[in-house]
Amino acid sequence: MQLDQKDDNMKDKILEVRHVSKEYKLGKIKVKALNDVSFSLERGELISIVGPSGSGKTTLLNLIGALDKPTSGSIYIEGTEINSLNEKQLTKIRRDKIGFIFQFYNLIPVLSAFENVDLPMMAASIKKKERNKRALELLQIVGLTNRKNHRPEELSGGERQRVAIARSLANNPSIILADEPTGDLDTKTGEEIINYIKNSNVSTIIVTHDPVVAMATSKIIYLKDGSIEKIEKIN
Amino acid sequence: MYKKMKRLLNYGFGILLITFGIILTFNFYYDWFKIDFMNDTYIFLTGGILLVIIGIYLTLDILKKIGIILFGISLMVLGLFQLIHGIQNIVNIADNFSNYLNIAELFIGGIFLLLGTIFLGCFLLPVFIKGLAFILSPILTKMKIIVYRNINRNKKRSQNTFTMIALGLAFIIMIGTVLESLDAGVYPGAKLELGGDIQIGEIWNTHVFGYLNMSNEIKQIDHVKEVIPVHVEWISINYNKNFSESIYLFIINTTEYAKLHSKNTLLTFIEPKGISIDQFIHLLDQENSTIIQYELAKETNIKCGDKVNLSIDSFNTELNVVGIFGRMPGLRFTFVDYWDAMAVIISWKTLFNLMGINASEYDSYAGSRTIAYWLGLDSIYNDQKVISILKTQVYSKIGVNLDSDDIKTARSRVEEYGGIIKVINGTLTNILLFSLLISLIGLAITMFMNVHQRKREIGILRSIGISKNEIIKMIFSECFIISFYGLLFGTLTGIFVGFIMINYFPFIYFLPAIFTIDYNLIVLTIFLVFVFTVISSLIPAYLSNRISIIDAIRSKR
Repeated sequence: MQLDQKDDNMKDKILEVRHVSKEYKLGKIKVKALNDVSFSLERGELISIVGPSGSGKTTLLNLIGALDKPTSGSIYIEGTEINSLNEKQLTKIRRDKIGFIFQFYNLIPVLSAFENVDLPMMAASIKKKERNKRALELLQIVGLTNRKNHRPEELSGGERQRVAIARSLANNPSIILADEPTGDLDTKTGEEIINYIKNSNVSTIIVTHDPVVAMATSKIIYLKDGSIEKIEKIN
Repeated sequence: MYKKMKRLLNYGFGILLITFGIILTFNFYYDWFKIDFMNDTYIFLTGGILLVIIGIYLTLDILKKIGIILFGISLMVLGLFQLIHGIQNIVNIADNFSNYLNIAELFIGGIFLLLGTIFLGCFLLPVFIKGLAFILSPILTKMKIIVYRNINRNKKRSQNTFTMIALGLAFIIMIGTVLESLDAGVYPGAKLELGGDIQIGEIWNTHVFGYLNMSNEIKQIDHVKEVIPVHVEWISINYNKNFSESIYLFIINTTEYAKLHSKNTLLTFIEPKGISIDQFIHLLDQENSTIIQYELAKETNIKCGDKVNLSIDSFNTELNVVGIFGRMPGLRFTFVDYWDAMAVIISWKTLFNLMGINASEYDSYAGSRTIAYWLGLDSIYNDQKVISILKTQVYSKIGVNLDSDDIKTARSRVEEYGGIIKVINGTLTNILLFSLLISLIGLAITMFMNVHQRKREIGILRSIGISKNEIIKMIFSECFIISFYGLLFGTLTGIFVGFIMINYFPFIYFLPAIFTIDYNLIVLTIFLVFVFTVISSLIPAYLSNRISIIDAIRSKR
């Protein structure tokens, strides 16, 4: 399916995961990391995926983020099935549609906070003037204007994660995928980070171990042994 | 704890070096310790300063930058001293080949100089990189900032790569330049020694062979272009009215001499400066003029424009000094600094004027006084043809068989010296090939490690939507910028050190050198180093791009 071909039934859904399974080979043994997982994410929705270690949370997030391909099933982002896309098209999806937030920030160490935020826009060939304006705006939103010229090693864990949030928002993505975004932070900083993500109003999936973080989302998907155990809506 | 220990060690070692350096430096001036081996002042002067600077570098953080610059400069100074000292000592090798240490000293000096220059190059790296990144920005486009930051903020990595490229290349080019220069000097050197392509007669031993009167016959022989009849007298030169010395007087044919040697770059003229060989030689055509050897001028304090009194053929005459020469063809003793081998030159015309000889008598007089001929040929490979005719002519004229003492050719000299040059060439070529191999392997490993260590960075970049092509472009650009700077700096440094080595090389009669750049070697090494650099960085970049983004992000490097 081409990138611009849309599935008309999915107009309100920003993401749809349909019967996705993922198998790995460990030597000669096949390990099923995900088994027939299906769910969807609506525009502006913030959901969390929880589960014990090895339940397949990060695997699912990587599949949605086009970092990996499922063994079977389909993943649609804004109506585009990403499984069948080639590497070039997947790069475009990662750049334009998805914003990643990692547990250990994964900022480029040689670049300043400003340059880290600027980088995805640079990859998207946005004009310099526009990029500068947007990067400054994003750093202002996450409260880091005065730290814009500092490199990651000169920032605290919370500040680094705020830079990562600003970077994930740089290209106005359709979905933010956050893998344990508060895992390396203290409770207070973790709360701040979740608030920043919430305030961005972008459809977000947070993978977490932390029940407090999960309760801050509108829907919790419980994963166990690669399958969805239950989906809980939070009022 | 470890850091504290390291710092303490740094301080201790630094202060020790500073103290030792100061003692060594001042010992040079005040000779505190009466030890003979400290007489090599150059080592202790520069070595002392070097130690002080390393000491400062280790002890004080704030002076590190200045320390680096001074360290580089002092390495260069030490290198220069060592180089010149080594070169001067090579003169001894001319007489005694057992002193191989002097050659080692020469190369140690060269390496010090290379290291110093490249050390400074490392310091200038960020400035240069900024300029180059700016120039390359239309090609780098999106990745410009990350390329620039990567090179500058991973300074150690960049400097290591730069040093590896520049040092290897500079060393190779330095040796290549020395080789090529030695090679270029062989034939002009032989011609300089013999006074032409062929020398007939023994200037030193006039009673064995001489007083031929056959200029005209020689001129008729095929392949002979210039014929210079030479007369040599042992005369007395008077200076400062009260002093006189016995020296050699050479009487030559200026026009032919200038023509034959007009392209020989080994000739040196001390005064007047900035004139061509033709102009210098033709100064002798002025009435009552002479040119004198530099060593003689120095010893007797004679300058251009002065008058000297010469005693020739039992009469005294005053001549104007119109030039001072360093090296002139045919005057073998000008290569060594013996007081009893000093020379002045006048033209035949001046001699005839002084002796009141009529124009009609020129040829027969010159012929009867000629003790040797210096010949110029159309090609050195025709020397045997010319010699065979000459032998017949001389035999038919005076009934003498010319032997190898009476007749010498530049080509046989080249073959004779070629043996020595070949030994030097062989040794240097081996060093050259070995260093090329080592630096290419080292370079490949450095580049491979550089990219291999960046697997995680590549994973992150791909996760935020940077394409594989952009990443390869980024790695290529980084590698291109560093290797370009390394290649440029290495090439210039190699040529510079080679130039210094060759220009300070003493003129030994069998080892003349003319500074010549080996362009083929330079192009070949630059190409090889560049290709190796690019391949050894692109292969790991390509492989890193192939592994999954998840694995790349998870990797620790």
